[in-house]
Amino acid sequence: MNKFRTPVGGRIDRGTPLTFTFNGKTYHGYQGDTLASALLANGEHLVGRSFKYHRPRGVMTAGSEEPNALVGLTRGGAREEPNNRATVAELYEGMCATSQNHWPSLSFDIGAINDRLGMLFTAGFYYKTFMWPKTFWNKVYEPIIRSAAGLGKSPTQPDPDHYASRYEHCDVLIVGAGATGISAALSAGRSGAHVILVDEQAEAGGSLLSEASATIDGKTATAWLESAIASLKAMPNVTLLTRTTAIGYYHYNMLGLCQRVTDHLTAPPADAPRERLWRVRAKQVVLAQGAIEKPLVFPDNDRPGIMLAGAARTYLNRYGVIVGRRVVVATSHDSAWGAAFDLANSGGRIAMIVDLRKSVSPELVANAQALGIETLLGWTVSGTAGRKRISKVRVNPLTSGGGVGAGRSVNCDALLTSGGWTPSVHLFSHTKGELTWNETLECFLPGKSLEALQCPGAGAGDFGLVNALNAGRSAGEAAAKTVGRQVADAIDRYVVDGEITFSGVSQRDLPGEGNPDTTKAFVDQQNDVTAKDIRLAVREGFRSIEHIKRYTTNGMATDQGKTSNINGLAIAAEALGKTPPSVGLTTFRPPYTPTTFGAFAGYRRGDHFEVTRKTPMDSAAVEAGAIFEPVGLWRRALYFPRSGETMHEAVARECRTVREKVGIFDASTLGKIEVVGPDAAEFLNRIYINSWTKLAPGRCRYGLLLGEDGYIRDDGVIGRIAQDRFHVTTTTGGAARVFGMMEDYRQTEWPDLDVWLTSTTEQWAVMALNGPNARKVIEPLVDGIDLSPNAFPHMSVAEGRICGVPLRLFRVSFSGELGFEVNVPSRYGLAIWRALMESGKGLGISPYGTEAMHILRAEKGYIIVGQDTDGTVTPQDAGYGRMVATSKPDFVGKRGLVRPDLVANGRRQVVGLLTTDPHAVLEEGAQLVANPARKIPMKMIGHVTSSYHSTTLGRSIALALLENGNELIGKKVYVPMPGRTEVAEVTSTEFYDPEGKRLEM
Amino acid sequence: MTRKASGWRCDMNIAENNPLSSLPTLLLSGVFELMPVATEARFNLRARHSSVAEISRTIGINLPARMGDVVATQGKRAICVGPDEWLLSCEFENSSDLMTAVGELSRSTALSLVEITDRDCGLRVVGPKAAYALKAACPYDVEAMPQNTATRTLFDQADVLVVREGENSYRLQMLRSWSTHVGTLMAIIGREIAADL
Repeated sequence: MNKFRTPVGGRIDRGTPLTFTFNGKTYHGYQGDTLASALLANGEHLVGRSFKYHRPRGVMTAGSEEPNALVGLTRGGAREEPNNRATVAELYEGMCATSQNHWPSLSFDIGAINDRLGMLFTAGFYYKTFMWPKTFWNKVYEPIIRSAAGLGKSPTQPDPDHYASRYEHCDVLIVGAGATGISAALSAGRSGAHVILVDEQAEAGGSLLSEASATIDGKTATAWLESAIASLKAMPNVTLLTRTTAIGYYHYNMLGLCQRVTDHLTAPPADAPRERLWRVRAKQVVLAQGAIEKPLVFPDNDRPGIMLAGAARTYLNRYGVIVGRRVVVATSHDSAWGAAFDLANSGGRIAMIVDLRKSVSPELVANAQALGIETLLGWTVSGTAGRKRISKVRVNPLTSGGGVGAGRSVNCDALLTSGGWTPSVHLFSHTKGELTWNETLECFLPGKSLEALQCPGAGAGDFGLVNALNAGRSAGEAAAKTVGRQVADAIDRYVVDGEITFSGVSQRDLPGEGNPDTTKAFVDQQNDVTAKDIRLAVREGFRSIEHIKRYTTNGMATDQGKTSNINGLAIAAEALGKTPPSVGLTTFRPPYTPTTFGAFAGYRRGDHFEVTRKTPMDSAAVEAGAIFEPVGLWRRALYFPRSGETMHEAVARECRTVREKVGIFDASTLGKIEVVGPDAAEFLNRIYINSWTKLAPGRCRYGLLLGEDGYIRDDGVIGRIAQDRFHVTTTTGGAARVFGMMEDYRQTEWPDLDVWLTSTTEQWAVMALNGPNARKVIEPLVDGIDLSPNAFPHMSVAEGRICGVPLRLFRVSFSGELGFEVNVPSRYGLAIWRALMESGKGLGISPYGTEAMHILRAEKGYIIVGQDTDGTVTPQDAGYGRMVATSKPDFVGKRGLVRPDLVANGRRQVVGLLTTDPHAVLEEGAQLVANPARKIPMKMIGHVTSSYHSTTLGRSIALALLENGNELIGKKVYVPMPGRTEVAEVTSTEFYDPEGKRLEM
Repeated sequence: MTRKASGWRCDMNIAENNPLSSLPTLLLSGVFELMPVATEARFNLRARHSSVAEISRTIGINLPARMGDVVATQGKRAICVGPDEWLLSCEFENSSDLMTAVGELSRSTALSLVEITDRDCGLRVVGPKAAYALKAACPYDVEAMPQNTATRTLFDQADVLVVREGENSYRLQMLRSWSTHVGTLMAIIGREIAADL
């Protein structure tokens, strides 16, 4: 069915053909293909255009390190996602893929003009080109750059998929299910340890999935892998997770794993999450991530058809795909020879193997000759030709002076390169582990780590299959022993036959025939960074690899430099005349591969984005048509519009109801703390500024709480229920903070006091009844409390029953009207609310929301901590100076209050403001000035903290913090606002019923 | 449920309202069952270590000394949740006796007993995948908990008390206003587990 498919072999399921589209054209592949392998099987190498120069690009790798083959995938509707790597996107029936970074089409792309204008796009071109004129940046340059640059298009609709999370604890977590990881899992698993083995690929096996020649313990790699996986699956203590990428390694062996659950399915089930983020805490970690092949850097090394030799081997042995009919191999590492041999043995024609080394193992040369492959040792590649696919490669002998001799051109349709292998140290680096430079291998290897981890196998430079298997086994055993498991002694070492040698020599950018200043030898194909860009950065004075990275963009974006960092470093180090370790490596940061926002969000979307705390009476508010506002995590009714009412009209009506009849308000969110014990009063004496000793049971008092600095932190009414029991209320937002602060002082400062705290915020449903008719509403329902004004005056508290359920009744008011706060156990809140509404029917009762509550209290000049205070307001500033019980030996903030700057003149004090124009409502936050005629910037002497239109007073009112405000009462201040300046008179804060007569009804 | 109490003067039906009662009971065979815990009388007890023996005698249950330990006898249960803190629960019928007895004791012994029956809601998660389900949003290793122990931890963003009541039986206790979040999330997790992917 596919032109470039081997007749047999590979791990694809030839019984399950699949249809997919790429850029609208229909293709065929098989179950088990990736998008990349299926495209290659159809002979399609051109898969995208590069980021900067829009050069045609092909598939370079067979894994998550892929820099080029980025595609958009869509399942229709909102299910579209850019920047998928075709090399890891598993094919499913009906997959719809499109290439990126081109217009109008992949094969004809206008942006390719950038390739000709390459001189304009050198390293740091953003910083150089767009500096002048400065005003052009925001309006011209940035929008154009943003629309032209960027990888792929962001989806425009909300993600319809859902995502999951999972926490796990285990003895041994093994990252990478290649030869090393499987071997480690087998030995750790046999010990009985709880093992988790993860691999980012669809199938466990790593390089074993691409291994055609070697045998393990007498079995083919495939047969050995099959039995090893079967053994692991038979162990109940081993969990094997495929399609799961270890994206980050955090403190104390906590690893983040992203499991792709349904992306490979044609029709994902509705209840299954698309991805699941695991957070695993492991006692021991084995990092068996293996190594990533390095490309060679030479002019025009980026044409479609040029790929890593190991990738070609994977496409052949794992997917049954022949990447070319006439293939040239260019390498300085033995492993590429193996790829050539496998291809030659499977019907591909290898035209030539070019090895930069003067000599290689004679066995390799003999093998090549036996297969009829021409070998050129001590030769290099100096260039390529071909527009949308490589057609020719230029090869030259290396001269002793480091240059090249006369070359020849060789026709080809694929060029496989290998510059050796880079151990994958990404996760190890996340642990802040020390990387050590290995002179012989010319790579960074894991050194000392702070975490309980091991790095066996190729990831530690211990290359080769037999080494991987035996190192994995030792690591698995060591990990098992560390977690206290028994390991059987004297297991035979693994025996591997037919493995190709694994030696090589690292390269810089290769010498070429042409002018190195006009050729493009790509180091980072994703960001179009060339060798000369890196040299230019060094010439322009950059010395640190971190700066070179940012200046050139080498190693950025989706692949995070997995194929480019080491080549870039080698070139930079050479240009600087330093060794690579002294130039350093850029820091690896999580995530290892691109991870969706959905995976991080997990269940936290829609209704579960945040907890929405609802009061016991929430459903009654909904029935009454409430408009809600969030207050912390709580949702509170802001106002209750009746049909046709605007917010302003509804709030005005609610205010009138309270002033004239009776309103009911859900105050359940107020923080409540029960302070109990023989020393309860003494404890409150030390916490609050006022005195509690003489407060009789059955009475309430308003309390102010400061920080040690003397500034107001919280306030609330506190009722004394019994000699040793107080019912403390706090602000809604301050509840948890105040509880924590009190508990802190109790435990650390005054452990001698016999007093304890219990949070009772949610024990009680609280309904505030405010208005002249409030008593009449509750009277028929309350039992056991004499509600008459003399028996139960303002600032009283009593326990009784309402409608037969337990009641704590407070006579308090935050509106200035006769007020009661009905506290009942939360499970009765809704029923009691309904009972009160029923009882108040003939009395004009109506619910009111937080907006009306705010206006009513502002009319009375009651402050709200956090609105009229900003963390720098003292009790004196707020007009509560007389509350401070200075005779108390101590309380929190007592010393702070006498700090020189807190008693100095010129402090901002809470005052009232009445605008000359009674209809003008000041903006909250507006600044106050004494004289608006002054030159800007003029001195600001305060700001508006609360401002409303008051229906009760028929005009606007405001509270403000004003320098020496108390002395300025009767004077004018000016309030500049957008487009106008208002004039206001400084007044007392008590706008309404300053004598407080209405409280005493 | 309607509980009549003395002084009943209202002819209205004063019904109890529990946010979890509107949560559909989730029965996922082979996964777990999710059920609200019936309301019981709950108290927060705090006292010094030196008073523990005396209080234990008074309330008829040996207050556990180690954090996380759970002791249950004769319809009463005590969970040690702090060095000086226990969560007590009992059937409603016994709650006034308990309060009276502790109230008497508090005249001579410093302690704090506060009713929190309505502060919290409970959810029971029972079934072969109960622990697996909790691990979807709970960072604590609930599988490693011995039976009859409890711990304070997080479930998603909610503070919860997890009690392991049996091999495959857990109870979550959390603030009333957090319980809908926890319950509906458990339902999502249950359906996810039932999808078996």
